[in-house]
Amino acid sequence: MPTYLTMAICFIWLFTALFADQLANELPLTCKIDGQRHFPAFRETFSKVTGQSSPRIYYLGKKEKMESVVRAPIPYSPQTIDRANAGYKSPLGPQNISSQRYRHWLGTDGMGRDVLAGLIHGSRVALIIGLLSVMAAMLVGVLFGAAAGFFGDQRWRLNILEIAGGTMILTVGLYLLYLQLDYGGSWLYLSGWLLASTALVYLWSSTVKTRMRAALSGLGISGTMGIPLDLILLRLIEIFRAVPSLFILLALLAIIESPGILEMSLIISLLMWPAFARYTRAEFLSLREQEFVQAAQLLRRSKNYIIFREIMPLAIPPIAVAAAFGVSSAILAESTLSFLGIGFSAEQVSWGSMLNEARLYFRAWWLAVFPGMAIFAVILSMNSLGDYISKQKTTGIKMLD
Amino acid sequence: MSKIIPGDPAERLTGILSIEGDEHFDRGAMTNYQRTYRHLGLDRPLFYFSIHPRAREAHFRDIERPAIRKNIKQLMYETGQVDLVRSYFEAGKALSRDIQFQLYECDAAVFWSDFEHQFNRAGSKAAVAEITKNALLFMPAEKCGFHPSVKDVVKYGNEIASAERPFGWWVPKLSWHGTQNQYHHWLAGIFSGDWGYSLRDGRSVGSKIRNSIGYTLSISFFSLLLTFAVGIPLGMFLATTKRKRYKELLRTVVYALYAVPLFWLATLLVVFFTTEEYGKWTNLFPSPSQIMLHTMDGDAGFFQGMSYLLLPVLCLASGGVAFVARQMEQTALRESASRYIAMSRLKGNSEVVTIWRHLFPNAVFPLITLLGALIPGLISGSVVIEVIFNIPGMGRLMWDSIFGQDWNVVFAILFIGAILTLVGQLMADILYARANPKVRYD
Repeated sequence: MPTYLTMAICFIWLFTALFADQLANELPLTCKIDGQRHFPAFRETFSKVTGQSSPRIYYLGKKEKMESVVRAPIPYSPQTIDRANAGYKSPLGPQNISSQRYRHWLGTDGMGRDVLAGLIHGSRVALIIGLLSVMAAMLVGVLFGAAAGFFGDQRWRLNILEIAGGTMILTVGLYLLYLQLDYGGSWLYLSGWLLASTALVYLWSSTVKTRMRAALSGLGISGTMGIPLDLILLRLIEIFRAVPSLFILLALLAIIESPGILEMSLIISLLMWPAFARYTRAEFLSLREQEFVQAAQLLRRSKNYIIFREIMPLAIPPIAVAAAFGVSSAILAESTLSFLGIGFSAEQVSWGSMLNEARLYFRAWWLAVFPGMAIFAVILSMNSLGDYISKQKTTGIKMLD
Repeated sequence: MSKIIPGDPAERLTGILSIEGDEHFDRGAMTNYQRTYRHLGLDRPLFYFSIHPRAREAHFRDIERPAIRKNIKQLMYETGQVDLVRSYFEAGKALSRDIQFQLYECDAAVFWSDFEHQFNRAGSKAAVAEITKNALLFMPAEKCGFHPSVKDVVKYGNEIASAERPFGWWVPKLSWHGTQNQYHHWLAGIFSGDWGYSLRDGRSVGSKIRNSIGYTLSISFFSLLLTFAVGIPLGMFLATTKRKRYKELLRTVVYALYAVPLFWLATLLVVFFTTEEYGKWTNLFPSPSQIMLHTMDGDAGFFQGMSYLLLPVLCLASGGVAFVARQMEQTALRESASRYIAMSRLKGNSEVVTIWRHLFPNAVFPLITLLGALIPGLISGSVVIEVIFNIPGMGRLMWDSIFGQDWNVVFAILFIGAILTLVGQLMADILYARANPKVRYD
């Protein structure tokens, strides 16, 4: 796919997602109520960003009083029900409208909702899902993969005392959490215990440890143990690979009642982090043997510095490729779920939920074609963006060869 | 895992809307619920052992009613006296069981039903004290005399009301339950072929899966076959052809096919090619409702069955074809840069011999690993395909069970899916080792 087309699709997508409220809205862009100028469509965006209650109901009540109205290009919101055009009006056929300004350019669904408005607002859902889930998956996957790749099974060594103390404190903490949840008493208990365990950690780290270390080395027990990070990561990835991902999604979504965009993204990212971890681990495995890492170690740079400042910049290109493909697979997952009717609630319009309606009524080809085209275009452009980055990979390890 | 899921399986199976929601529940419904509860084995502990604070018991699963379980737990936490709370509860239960008939004779029945009601919802020391006081005040002793259980209730109730929680109630305690636990029974059931019961219609999970697995396996098998039968030649063609025009066109098509969402493709095919809405010739394939009718009857012959499966198989294979073709092209291009290919050309071998005798075997064997990667996709894809085409296979069953909150079926299918995936990966590994002597697993 040519690069300019990819870029064009990306920009259109970003644009519609950012300005969805101004592109398709039954509230006017600007109008006068009682001589005062209002900007209802912009107020709606503002209220969404700041988390205030929507001004929609207020303005819909003042519909008669509006003067000198400037409407959005598509004068419908995705949830606007146009009763005059209910029952699947084709984009090509006659529509029951007062002027061409109010035409449903891509037709309507069974309830009379505008398809184009749904498409525009669906692009926002797709963007949020794609970015949020990829970012969450990257946060976990890249960190875990970097640690596993850099430290392997043996390089992160901890004193046996530290391991014993850490395990003990972790166990006590988990038990206290369980106790708190089971008892259901006041949070006072938990905070008290947190305080106590913090004190325990402090004691353990300072005085007790040195004394015990001395005592143990007197007994001839001293030494360190490698934490098998790599082993743990590989086993975890295997577990995630064993179950078909759609099944995991279905089962998790059935447990969570009425998931929102945030829950949905987190669930999808739960399935995606192993991919990021795998790529990052592979990259770190090969990069950590390079001379510049040895040089940094000779210079006694800290491990944090070596991981994040020396190796990570070179590992970014493959991670970016994985991120581009991740966005497309997240959108695909979300739309598949919405299509199956398992994702969001019915009010939340997304491309998949619009396709779901096409299944109910075969004659409405416009419901099947347009949202599908949107998903297809976005996935295609994300895939070719990934290919593009991987071809441009001149800053990565190839530079070193 | 099944225990964190909302919803009470016994409630679902008996068809009772809510045991706790209704104040004056039907005694018959309650008995029915209790019987189902025990039949499903919900009265057993969850796992082989449990860790719990010393103040409470390991589990209260022998008590059928969730609200009473909660009350007893709260009482135990509040008093820290496990045995005392247990005896109090047992005494109260014995009382309400023994005496309800006996007391009809001396018109104290109203009092006792009231007592039972209060007893069932006492979850704190104060409430227990209140009940004990009432029992002493209003007991119609002069008419009926004392029932032995009454003394027990009053005695234990007083003890609870005055009990002090001992220090160290939070000390963890390990209880061992042995093999009489739900997990063990579930596991043993799976290995002995007893998969439990569907919570929606009470049929056994095994028979439900047996009925549906055939459809899914046949669709998956044929689409896997089609994937490799089309994808491999396509990839080889893309890698070796000299005709630029075809190559670019095909490559674009493959690229697009790779990005098409499966469910969209299937919906489009169903919308356009199963009805006569868009012209006479478009009614090529049976519509999903026809498929459902005939698969329900089970009288579809082989060729008819094939015609039903054609569209689903095509859809499911499409993404795989693109994937395999792209992989094949890449490996073939990588191999064609090797020296043995140049050597074969130098020896004067024809292009056909070079490509098919020397290039092809080396290029195709990495694809064996794709077998392992494709199987999870097939299983996931079968959900979408079977829902759209109304095929009563495993994917459809999964979908229905999730909507019906039929967890026994859902977990069985998840389990099978995981096993199929593992088997696919294992097969891929073994085949890979057989095909390439360089690979050795230690």
